[in-house]
Amino acid sequence: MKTKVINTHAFYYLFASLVFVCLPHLNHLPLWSLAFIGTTIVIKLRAIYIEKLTIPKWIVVLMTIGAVSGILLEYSQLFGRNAGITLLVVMLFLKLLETQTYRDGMLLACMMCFLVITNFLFEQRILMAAYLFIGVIAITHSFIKLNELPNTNTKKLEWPVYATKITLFALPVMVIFFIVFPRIPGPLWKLPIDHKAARSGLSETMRFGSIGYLALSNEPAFRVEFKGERPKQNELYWRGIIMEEFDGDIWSENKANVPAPNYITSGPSYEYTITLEPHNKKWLFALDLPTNTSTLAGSQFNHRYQLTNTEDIEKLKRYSLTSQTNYIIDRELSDVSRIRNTRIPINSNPRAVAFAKELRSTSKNDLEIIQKVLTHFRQEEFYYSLRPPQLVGDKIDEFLFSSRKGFCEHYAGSFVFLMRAAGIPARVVAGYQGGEQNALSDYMIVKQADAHAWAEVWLPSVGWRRVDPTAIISPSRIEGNVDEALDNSENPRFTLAYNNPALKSMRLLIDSMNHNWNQWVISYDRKKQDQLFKKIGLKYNASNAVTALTIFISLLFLIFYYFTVNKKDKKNISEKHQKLYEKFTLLFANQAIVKVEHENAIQFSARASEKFPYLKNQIATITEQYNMLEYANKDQHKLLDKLKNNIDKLETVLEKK
Amino acid sequence: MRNSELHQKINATINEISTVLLGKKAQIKLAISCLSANGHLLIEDYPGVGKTTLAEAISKVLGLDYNRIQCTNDMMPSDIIGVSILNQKSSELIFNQGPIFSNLLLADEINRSTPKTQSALLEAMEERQVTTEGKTHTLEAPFFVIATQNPLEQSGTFPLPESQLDRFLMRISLGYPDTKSETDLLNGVGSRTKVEQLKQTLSKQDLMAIQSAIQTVKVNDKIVQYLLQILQSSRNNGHFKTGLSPRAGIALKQAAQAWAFMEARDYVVPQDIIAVVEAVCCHRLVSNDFSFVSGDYLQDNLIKQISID
Repeated sequence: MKTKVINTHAFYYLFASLVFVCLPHLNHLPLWSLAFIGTTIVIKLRAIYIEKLTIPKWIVVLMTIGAVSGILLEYSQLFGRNAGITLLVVMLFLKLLETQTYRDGMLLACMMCFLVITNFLFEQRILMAAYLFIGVIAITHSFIKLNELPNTNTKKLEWPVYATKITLFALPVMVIFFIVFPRIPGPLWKLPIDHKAARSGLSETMRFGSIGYLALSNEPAFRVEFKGERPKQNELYWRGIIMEEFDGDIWSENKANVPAPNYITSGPSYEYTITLEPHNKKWLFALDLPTNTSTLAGSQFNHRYQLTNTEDIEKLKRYSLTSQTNYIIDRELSDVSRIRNTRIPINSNPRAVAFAKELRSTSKNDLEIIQKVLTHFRQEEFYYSLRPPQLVGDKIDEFLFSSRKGFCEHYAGSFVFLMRAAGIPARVVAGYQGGEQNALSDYMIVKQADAHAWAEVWLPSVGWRRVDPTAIISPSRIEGNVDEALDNSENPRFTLAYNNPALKSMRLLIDSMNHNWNQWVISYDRKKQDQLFKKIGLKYNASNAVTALTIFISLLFLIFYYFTVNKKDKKNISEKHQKLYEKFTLLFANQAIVKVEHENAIQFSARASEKFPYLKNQIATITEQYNMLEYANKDQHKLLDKLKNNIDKLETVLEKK
Repeated sequence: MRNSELHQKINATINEISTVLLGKKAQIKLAISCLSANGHLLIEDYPGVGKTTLAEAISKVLGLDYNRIQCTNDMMPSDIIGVSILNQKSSELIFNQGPIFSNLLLADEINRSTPKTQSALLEAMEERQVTTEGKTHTLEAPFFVIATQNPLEQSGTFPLPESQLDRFLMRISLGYPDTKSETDLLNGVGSRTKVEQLKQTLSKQDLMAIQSAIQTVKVNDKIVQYLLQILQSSRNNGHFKTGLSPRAGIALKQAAQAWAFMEARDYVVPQDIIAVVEAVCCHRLVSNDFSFVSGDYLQDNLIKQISID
């Protein structure tokens, strides 16, 4: 096709849609690429304003080389998730730089459709979906503007009314495809995931400060729906990672994995379903302590009473469990476990060790030592704080005897260390504590800010027992939530806006929307698909579904054809000269000059001869002959033959081009 | 007289007028086709763009017996129609013909006269006769009125009601001249005094011949259908407060025939309708937000809604 230059107006729509769909990517893009994008925009706008539309090829080539090497330097690859998206965004802006012809514009718009989808690699919440829907409308509008006829009035800024209409028309089709099309098992995005880009959440190790930083995060960790009764707030311990290894600085998991022995639970049982946000790790959270873990497929319940998934959780996971909050576990302790859970690094934290030895010598039994340590925490000036001072050297000594300010991991870690130093088996448990009930919808949200660490100690003939030293320092942390426990000056969420009741219910509303979105859209998989179809009395079969969709889409096309294309055929073009004239207009349609419905023959001929000045006379003759046949009611066979000859001649001329 | 001869004379007329009204060929052609279709013409524009020049030039080249009235707000109907005076010798009332008794009446700034005077004039335009003191006086054919008016926002005017605007076959506006024409104008090429020196290019007989030839210009079924679509769409498509009247439909057809004749064709094609539609229809329509209908509005909301195959 010959080059057809797009008008500046269409270009601005393209530009605006590109910026719009790129915006959510901004915080994944490296800083230099933003500067790069800024430069391309400046160059392009300058080119437009000084009316010199062509940008020298060498600049584009140079910039391409620069961008690619930048990405290679940054990510040392081109096709990872982040690297790939940076490449795509940068290349689209470069394309924008050289966009000049109709073909460039169409290509750019098509690529933008792909760019829209990439946003879901990072974020799949409902607000993002809504935002991208608007993005699709913007791109559709650009398509419309690109294909607009040159004689339409394009001076005014136009709202994308038509684009919105056709996108909304497409919505039901999209929904039907979503429901019926076979779901692809496993995460949809099989792009290599960069493991560097960790998600926020608990990590497999704990050190001082590692949980405290989560206290600022409003991201949801998981959502819980209780069937029937809910436990009390101070019973909401969501068991996650059990850390038995300590190297003097970092607490970590022991990798040994044995299935859990039998254990005794009592008290009321709570049934619940958890919707876990992806955290790229294996563990699943459960209310301390689950009883029916064997019903959960693809998971393991090990000898530390820790629930893990066999695969990393890379997408939303929904699972149902039953828990009872009173339990007796490991009444007997194996020697291996005893040694593992009383081990402390040699020569570390001497003051704490001495303190523990002293407690041991002055106490009758283990229980008394525990009591004394907790009393020590209560009576001495210990503070619960998000911003404890930086500790160096023997950190536990520093914390216990000088700084005395810490978050839950400080208390849990030091407590376990003291217990071990006194010869009592003890370990750190990391997980979440608490949760906020959504008043608008019947579920509870547990946020990253609810991350918590507590201790478990083993007592003879009692087994492992939960001890939460944070509850001694700051009871309101356990009874309420982090916000209540923190000093107002420390709490970033303690602002009028955050506590405003209207805004709070707004926040809860959005979260409940997200919850439903997660439940019905994000976690819609093969299993749910089967269930859904069973409900309406059908057995789901992938190949039948594809066949049905194919028939559906063909029907849709037929209907479309009937109402639009066919409409034209219904008009009377039975006469010979009308058929000839249609052939004539089609000749020009191939040259991107399409006759509009309201255009008459003379207007069309003016437009055609403007594009093909050397054919002006031929076009005028044909138009006059057609008009005579059409409007002068002269039945002239000779004229008809002349018209046919002229059109045939024109065809050969146009074909030669 | 052969049609080709008439076409030549029409072209000569248009060229002749162009020598005093520079760069306005399209408007001149519309004005001539309006008169050829035996219709009255309203020229609306700001002062000083050549309204009166056009009117005078037309009367000159058509060689018609012409009168001019400058409308003011104290003008009475009798000032236009005429008045009966008692002849003292014969003791009879004698009717003294007013300026309307001519072939071409130029009513300058018609919207400065009061509604009473306007309606007297407009009635004469429609009936082509005047009745005074129980006697009916027929106006001699051809009879045209070329009225000029300033846009309504100018002070001291009485806007013509829609029903009376309907009497004008076409309303045209001249607009400012382009740079080249204005340069020529400043250099004295098309000065107003030259109007007096214009040659007569059409005789009264020529004009009558053209008028009867125009009535034979063919309007076939497809054109009638197209006209019907325009009329019905203007009434139903929701963009206009009131649609086009049947009289407007007839006017549009006549104007299109005249235009086809200007184009040296003996049949009407859709483009002829498009060429005259703004001049014929804009002043007969009110948009649904009660504002005046511009040419662009008419194109977007009426003409481009109708398909042609």
